[in-house]
Amino acid sequence: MIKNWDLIKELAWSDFKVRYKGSILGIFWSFLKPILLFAIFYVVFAIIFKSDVENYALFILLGIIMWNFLVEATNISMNNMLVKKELLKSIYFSREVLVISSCLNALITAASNLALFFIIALILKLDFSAHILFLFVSMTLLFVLTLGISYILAALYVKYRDITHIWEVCVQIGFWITPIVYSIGLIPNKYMYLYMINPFARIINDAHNAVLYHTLPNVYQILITAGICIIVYIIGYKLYKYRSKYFAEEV
Amino acid sequence: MIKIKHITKSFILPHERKYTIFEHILSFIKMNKGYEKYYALKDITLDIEEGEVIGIIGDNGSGKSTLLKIIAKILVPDNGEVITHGKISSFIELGVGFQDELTARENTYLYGILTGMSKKEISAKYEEIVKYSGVKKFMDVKLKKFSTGMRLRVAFSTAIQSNPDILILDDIIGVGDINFQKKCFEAFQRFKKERKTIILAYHHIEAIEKLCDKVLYLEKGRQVAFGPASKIVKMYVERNAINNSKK
Repeated sequence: MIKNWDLIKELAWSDFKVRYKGSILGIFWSFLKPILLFAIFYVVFAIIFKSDVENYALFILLGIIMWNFLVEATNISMNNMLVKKELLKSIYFSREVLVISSCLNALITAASNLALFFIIALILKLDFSAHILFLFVSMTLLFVLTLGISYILAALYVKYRDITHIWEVCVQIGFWITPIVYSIGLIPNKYMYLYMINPFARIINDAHNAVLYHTLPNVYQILITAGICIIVYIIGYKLYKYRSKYFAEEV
Repeated sequence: MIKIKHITKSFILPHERKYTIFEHILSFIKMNKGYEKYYALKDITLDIEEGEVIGIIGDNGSGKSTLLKIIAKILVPDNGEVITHGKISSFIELGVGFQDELTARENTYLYGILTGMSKKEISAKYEEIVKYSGVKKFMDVKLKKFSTGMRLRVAFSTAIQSNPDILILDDIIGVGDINFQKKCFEAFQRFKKERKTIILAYHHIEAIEKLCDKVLYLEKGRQVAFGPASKIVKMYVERNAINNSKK
């Protein structure tokens, strides 16, 4: 396991370096995408639609950073199966390493984006409280869930290359059924139970409440969220583990 | 020690390679089978003792690489099993995983970890790796500026520092210039002296006879013979001569 950890770190870090080394702006590119998205949504929803969500700028920024982590992690995971083709074909190592390192790679970006979020929050004079620490729980749950989904997608991608198109559509839909640019208050009560099946909605909503509005979800709700994340993770891991035996000949 | 028991491995050879769900559905609707089963290995059984050097010979397509990959756990056999004790390092190809955009130093670490070393071990042996590769001046240069030969030297110098119990080599000692081949040969002798188990596939038949204790002879995925190097090599040469004269 220690050796695997060495390998995971090395792959994640070297891929991260390669991703941004080719350009002069380097790591700043990683800030650009969420900031641009943020700017667009802010103009549309705060200025044109006049959203009345409190701390709306920080509200969307946090949601976008978390959602962007999912999008990046899954894309890197799938892409890495092709990029690391030669490795799969000629070296034996635990195949899980590839997906874990891809997700860690995306997590580095997410962490630097979150740092930027807090700088902006300071500038906007957000009222900080200890509830902010709940963000660690949110990010952990998000990571486990994303890892599970990345396992599923990477395993399928080796055999079915058009899974990327299907996933792209899912991401589009997912974005709008998750409280990123609007608050959960807009959802009619009778659909709430349906809406709350989406684990991303649960995680991001809890993060919003903790960081911006100083409220924590009750333990029972957190356990349900964690339960969903762990189930997705186990399904993903099992599928990947089973399929990984054939990666070397199928990729 | 390695026990190889009744290994069979087949590959599906599709008439067209299907890469998408769409293509899978399409071929399902058309009801065409569209593939053939091809047996790369059939019922291979042998025991390898610790410290033995085993050569695998056979024509192209006889299943040498497939067998090496199964022993290295890269491929999974259809039937049978391989039991191995100890750490395996396989060098099916030198320098896989190299990143052009990173420096030679960064790549040394990356490659070392990929071949099964820990970061600590590489740091401890780093000076030796650099000295052996002979590209000391260029360790902070991006790998994309390196020539093929220089890459090979970095890969090789790193690879021989890994300390496996079982070493699997697929035709990689045949690459590079004379100087490089000499270094390969030296490293090989060192591993042999250290009583490592070595399994290699190599096209150079005289070298196989010289380097190996025992030889496995494969023909179209079947095990023709396994035994002392000189005897099997002689058999291989004779059979080839007969086949050639028939033509």
